[in-house]
Amino acid sequence: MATMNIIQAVNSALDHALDTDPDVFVFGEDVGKFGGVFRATDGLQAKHGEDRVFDTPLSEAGIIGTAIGMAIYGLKPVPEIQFSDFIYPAFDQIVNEMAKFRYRSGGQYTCPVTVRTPFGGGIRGGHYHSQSPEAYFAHTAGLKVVVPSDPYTAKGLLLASIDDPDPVIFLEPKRVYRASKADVPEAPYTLAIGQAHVDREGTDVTILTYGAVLHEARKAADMLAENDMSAEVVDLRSLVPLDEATILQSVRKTGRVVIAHEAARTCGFGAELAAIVAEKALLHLEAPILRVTGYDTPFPYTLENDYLPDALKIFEACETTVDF
Amino acid sequence: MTATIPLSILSPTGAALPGADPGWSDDRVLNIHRAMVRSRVLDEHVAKLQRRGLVGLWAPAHGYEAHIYGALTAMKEEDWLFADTRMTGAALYRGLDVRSWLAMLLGSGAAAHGGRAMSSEMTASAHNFVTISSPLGTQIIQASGTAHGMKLRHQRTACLSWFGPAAAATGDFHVGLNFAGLYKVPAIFYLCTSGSADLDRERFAGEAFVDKADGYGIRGVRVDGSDVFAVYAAVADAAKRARNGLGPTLIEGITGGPGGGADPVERLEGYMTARGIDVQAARAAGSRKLRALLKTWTVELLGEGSPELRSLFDHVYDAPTPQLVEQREGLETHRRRFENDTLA
Repeated sequence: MATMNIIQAVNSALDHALDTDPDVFVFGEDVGKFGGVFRATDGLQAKHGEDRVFDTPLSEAGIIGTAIGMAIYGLKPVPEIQFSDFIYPAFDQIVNEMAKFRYRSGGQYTCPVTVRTPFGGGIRGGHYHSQSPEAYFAHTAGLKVVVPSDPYTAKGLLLASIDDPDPVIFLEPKRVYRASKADVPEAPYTLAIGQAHVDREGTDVTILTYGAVLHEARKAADMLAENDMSAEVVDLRSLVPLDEATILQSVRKTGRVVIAHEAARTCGFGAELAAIVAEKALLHLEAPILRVTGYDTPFPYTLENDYLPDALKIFEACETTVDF
Repeated sequence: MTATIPLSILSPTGAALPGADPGWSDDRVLNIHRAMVRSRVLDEHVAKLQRRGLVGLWAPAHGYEAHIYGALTAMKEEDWLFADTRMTGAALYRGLDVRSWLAMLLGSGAAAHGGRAMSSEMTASAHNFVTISSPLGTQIIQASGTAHGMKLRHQRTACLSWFGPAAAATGDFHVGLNFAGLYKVPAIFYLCTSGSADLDRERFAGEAFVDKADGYGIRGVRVDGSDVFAVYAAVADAAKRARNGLGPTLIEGITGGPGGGADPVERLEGYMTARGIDVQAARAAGSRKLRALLKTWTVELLGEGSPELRSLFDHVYDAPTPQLVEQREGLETHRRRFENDTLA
């Protein structure tokens, strides 16, 4: 075990993958010599060489198109998109090509690309360094969408994503890149993709969340406990595939649901979660399902802390469902 | 970086230009002629199926035979192909059997992709023939990526991507050539221009498409795209350079020849006649068997009907997610209930 932050856990996972699998290649803008703007690939080029870890021109379509060409050829590329806000020039490659290769070729070609990209706000990044684009990708058949929340899940889920035979959009919660620290095994391990984790058990209300917001949900659960309310916190870890069983089991126990994510509300992933709960656990519900999300505005700069879901907003929503 | 190589080897009527005889054996000439004639047979067959409403959108290969078969002859089995929607015949040339080709054309359940893709979006991984994609330009970057993979694995192979002027207008064209030039990958980007100056002017203000190569630091070659020998020479040279680590080439193949209007098959046949080869006999020999196979297997495949309902959910992922399993069961249950009902 070693104490790591998320950056170190990601670096450790990449280092291990490069060590053990000659088909793994890591590339993107500034990931080589510089080691990544967040230092996630620090030291990897020096250790593994310029063929295995390399810099690319600034073109997300180029990075992902290159990864696709390599993946159908049998390699396992792990490209980085420096900020998920800049992933859109690669949208066509991701949605029309990467996601559909297996389907449109009847399984003759597969596209095991792991796209690492930092997402989310809270770093004074304004419109273009703060977005949460997960719903676009969760909506696209053929992609898996994986979201770690801390160093332990970052390493285990990243190694599982690289091993996965399908393309994975791996969204790293950059707000807690360094703030979140934990004991992480130095040896490699994987966490199953498609399995949610009950982060904290409770009886009165279920908080469904993922990524950086998990840490706000934990604080909210503490505040609720101080007010004699018991919250169960579920860290989804994977949006596609989604672990409905764990979600529904929790909802049937508590009868109340609050969904928390940073992305804007309309058609956000929370809408899908709410629909699933309504379809499959309606008669267990004691109160309306509530969402604590970003607002239907572009991501703001100065007022970002007002935009973001925080522990207080989650606390209030939980209290509302309990008092309903 | 733009290379000066002979634009044409044949005159518009098929006579070998002075000092430019391709120097091929009769057998080789007959083989490439056969491939081009078979391509015409495929076009005719698809046109018939279209009239019967059995095939939807389809871009014929007519006029592009030199681009396709001149280039293919210059590539090896282990080289990868990223074809344009006009170029499904290339998969047959590479060894895909006619029945499999037809199954994909018709979207039959027997198709390699289970009938999930449109007629021209064919796939043949056993022949390194990458799934054809309707979005234009995307494959240019992918071809660079696959070639990059070949280079990283130290393979002496190459990757060929064919596309038209519409794809060359996309951002992906720029990105693909920029990446390919930067990493010096073993790729050949074969641009089939329209051959009509007026049409090309609607897409591009420069003097010649091939001039773009200079800006990416890669080699550019302009070739008469209805002269199958000239196309062969240009692609063979580019492939040799690619395999030897000399990087990518952009080839501008001018459809219809520099004067426009030249038909690649007639032009080759002019040459064959001058060489004393019986063109009529070669045509008949090249097409007879294919016509018969197309006829037989079309009837057989149409008799097989649609793909199985549940196959709609296959190959989304390596293994279906719980959500897909649930959706599949839902659709099957629904269909069973209304088995005997049809919507007006």
